[in-house]
Amino acid sequence: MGGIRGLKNRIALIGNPNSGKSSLFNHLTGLRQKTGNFPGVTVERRSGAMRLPDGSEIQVVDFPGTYSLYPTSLDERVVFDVLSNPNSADYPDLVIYVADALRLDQHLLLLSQIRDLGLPVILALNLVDAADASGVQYDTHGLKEKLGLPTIEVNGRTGEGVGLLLQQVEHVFDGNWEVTTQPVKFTITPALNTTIQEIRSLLPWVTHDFQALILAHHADELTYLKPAEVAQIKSISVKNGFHSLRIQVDEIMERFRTIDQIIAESRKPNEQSGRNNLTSRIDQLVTHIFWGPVIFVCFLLFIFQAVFSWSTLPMEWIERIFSELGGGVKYALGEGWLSSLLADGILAGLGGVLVFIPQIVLLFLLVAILEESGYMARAVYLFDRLLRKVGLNGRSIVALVSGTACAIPAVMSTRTITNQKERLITILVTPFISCSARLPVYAVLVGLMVPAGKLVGLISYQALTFMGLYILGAAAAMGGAWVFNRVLKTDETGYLMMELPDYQVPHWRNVVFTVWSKVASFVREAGKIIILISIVLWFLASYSLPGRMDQAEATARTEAQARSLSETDTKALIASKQIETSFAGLLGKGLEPVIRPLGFDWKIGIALVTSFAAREVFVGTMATIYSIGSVDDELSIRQRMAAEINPANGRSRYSLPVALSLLLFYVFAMQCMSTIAVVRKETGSWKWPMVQLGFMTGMAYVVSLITFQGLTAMGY
Amino acid sequence: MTNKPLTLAQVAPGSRVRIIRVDDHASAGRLLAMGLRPGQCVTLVRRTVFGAAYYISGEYQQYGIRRDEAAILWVEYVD
Repeated sequence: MGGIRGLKNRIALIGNPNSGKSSLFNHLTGLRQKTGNFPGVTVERRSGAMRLPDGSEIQVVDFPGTYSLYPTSLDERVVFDVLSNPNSADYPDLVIYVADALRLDQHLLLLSQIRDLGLPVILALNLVDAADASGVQYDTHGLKEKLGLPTIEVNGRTGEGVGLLLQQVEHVFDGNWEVTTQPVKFTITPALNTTIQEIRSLLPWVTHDFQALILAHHADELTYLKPAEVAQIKSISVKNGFHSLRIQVDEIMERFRTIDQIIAESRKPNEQSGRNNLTSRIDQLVTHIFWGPVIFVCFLLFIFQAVFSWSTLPMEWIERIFSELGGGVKYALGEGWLSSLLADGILAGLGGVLVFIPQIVLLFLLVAILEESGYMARAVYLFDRLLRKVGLNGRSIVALVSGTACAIPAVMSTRTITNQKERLITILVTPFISCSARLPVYAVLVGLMVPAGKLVGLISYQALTFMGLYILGAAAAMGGAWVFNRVLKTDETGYLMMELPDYQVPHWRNVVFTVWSKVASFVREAGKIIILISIVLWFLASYSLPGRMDQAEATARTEAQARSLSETDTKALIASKQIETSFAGLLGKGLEPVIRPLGFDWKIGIALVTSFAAREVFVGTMATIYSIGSVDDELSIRQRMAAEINPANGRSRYSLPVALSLLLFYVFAMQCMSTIAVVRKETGSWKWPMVQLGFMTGMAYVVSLITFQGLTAMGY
Repeated sequence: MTNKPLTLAQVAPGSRVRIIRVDDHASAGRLLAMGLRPGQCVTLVRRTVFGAAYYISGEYQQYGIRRDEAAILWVEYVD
C-alpha cells in the first residue's frame, strides 16, 4: 500500500449482525454519509467520508452484517460478492473489522475468512468495557500477538477509541502494513486443491486459494461472473465431487477449533460471571406465550396513535406551505400553461410526497427505537409461526407494521427475509395494509356514510368503522398471502435462526441516522416517480382535444351568468366543466360502463384515474369535480357529495351501497403508482407489480360488486 | 439423565444441554456461525405456541430458532 490516499481509496466496514458496526460507522462519518444501493442489487449501501488525523478524507462503506461468507440472505450476499471481486468498484483497500468483545469467538470466524481473501484488516474490538462488566476479560496484548493484526479497542456507543482507530488507518495508508500470517487456517485437502487450482487457471485474476473456493461455493450467486464462467466453474466442481454444504460445515468447524484455542489462551481467568440478567427477566414477559402478543398489540396501538395524531399539525403546515407556494407561482407568472404546470403539476406533486414525511418520520422513529432496543427481534420470534402458516416469515412483521404508514418503505424493508418466496409474498401483500394515504379517502367516505353517534356513549361509530377497515386490510393481506403461498412453488427452505440481542437503551445517534437515511431514500425513490406521474396527470386533467377546453369554459360562463354566480363560484364551475371535458374526464367516461355495476359514475371514474397517482388525490379531484374552491374542505366535499342526486332513481347518488362499495374499493385496490414502481425495483421485473395490480384491483372489483349489488337487492 | 441421542427439538423447556454435533443441512452453516456449535452449552428457555419456535439461551446471547432448525442440533444433557 503506497502513501497516496484520498476519496478514491475505499475502506470496508465489516462485521457480524449486532456487532455495533453501524454505530461505529456513524461515529466515523458523522453526517457525511449517504445511502444508495450496491450496483446491480437492491441492497442498501451506506457510505461516507471519513476524515483522517492529517485532514485527508477516505471513503468508507458500511456492509450488511453477516456471520460468515456462507450467508443465507440477499443482503449478506453482497459481502462475498464484493470481497471476492477485486474489480468491484467497492473492493476495499482496507477492511475495518468490527467484533464484539463479549462474543469474540463467534466474531473471529468471518474475520479469519476475510483475511484468507488476502485483504488487509484492522480489528476494531468493540464494547470491551461491557464484556468486562460481564466478567469477560482479555489479555489484549497477547490476543493482538496471536491474531497478528492491528487491534484497536473502541466503543461504538460513546465513540471512545475512534481517534486511535483513525490514527491506525492513517498509519496503514502511509505504507506501514506488515504482512503477517493468518493463524486461523483451514486445511485444503488434495481433492479441494484440484478444484481450487483449476478455477485459478481458468480465472487468472483470482490471487488467493480461498477466493477460488468462494467462487466454487457461490458461482450461481456471484453477479460479476459471465454465464460461461459460471458453467465452467460448475463443471469443475461436479468433476471433482465438490460437496459445498459439507465443505462449508467442515471449514467452519476447523476454524472454530483454532479460534477457541486462541480465546482460551488470551482470556483472563475470571471467577465472577456478572451476566446481565435484565434481558432474561424482560423476556419472561415479552416472549411469554400469552403476554407477548398482548404487549405487541399495545405497541401497535401506540404506534397508530402516534403516527395519526402527532403528525396532523406538521402535515397541515406542509400543505399550507405548498398551497402558498403554488399561489405565489401563479401570482408571479400570471395565468398560463407554465404557471399551471409549476403550481398544479410539479409543486402539487412535490407537496404530495412531502406531506407524508411527518408520518414516515414518526413511524420510522418508532420502528427504529423498537429495532435498536432489541424488541423487534422478539416480535419476529413470536409471530414467525403465525406468519409462516400463510407463507410469510416472522421478519414480515416489520414490513406489515411499516405498511400502516406507507407501503414504499415497507416493501423496502423486506430485504432481510432470506427466503425469496417468503419475501415475494410479503412484498405482494403489504399494500393491502391500510396506509396513511387511504386515510383522507376513508375520512370523506366514512363521514358521508356513518352517523356521528357513539356506541354505548363511548366509542364513535366512525372510529369503529375506521378500525374495521384496518382489520379488513390486514385480513386481506393474510388471505392474499395464503393464496400466493398455494400458487407459488419453491424448493428453498425458510429460516428463522436469529439472535435475540440483549435489550439496550436506543442510542439517539443511531436512531436519528436510521430515520434520516430512510426518509431521504423515500423522498429520492418515491419522489421522482410521484412528481413524474403528477405531471402526466396534470396534463390529462388540464388538456383535451383542441378547442374543447375553451368551449367548456364558454359553456360554464353562460351557465354562471344565467344563475348569476359569484366570481369564485364561476371559477369553480369552469374548473368543474373543464375537468369533465379533459382527457381525464374522457377516461372517466370511458370507464363508466366498467364501473357502473359497482355503483360508480364517471365522476368517480375520473377520481379513480387521478388517484392512481396516490390515493389521497381522490379528495382533491372530487373537490374539483364538484366545483368546490378549497381542496382542504372535507366537510363541504361531503356535503356536496351527499346532496348529489342519481338521475336514474331520484335518490342520493352516494347512498349507502355506493359509499360502502367505494370505501371497500379503496381498502383493496392497488391505486398507488409509487408502490408499483418500488415493487418493480425490488423484484427486478414488471411481472410481479402487474400480478399485484391485477390481484388487488380484481379483488377490489369483486368485493365492491358484491357489496353494491347485494345491498341494492336488499333494498338499501 | 439418559444418554440416548436426542436433538434440541426434543428436550423440555428449562433443559440445559451441550451441543455434540450438527447434521449436514442447509441451516447448519448459519447455526454454527451464529455460535450454536458443538461444545457449546445452551438452555432451552421457552417455546412459542405449539412449540413452533424455540427461545435458546447461550453463554452470552439468546437465539430464536424454529423447531426444524433445532432438530439438526444433537445434544446431551448437562447437570
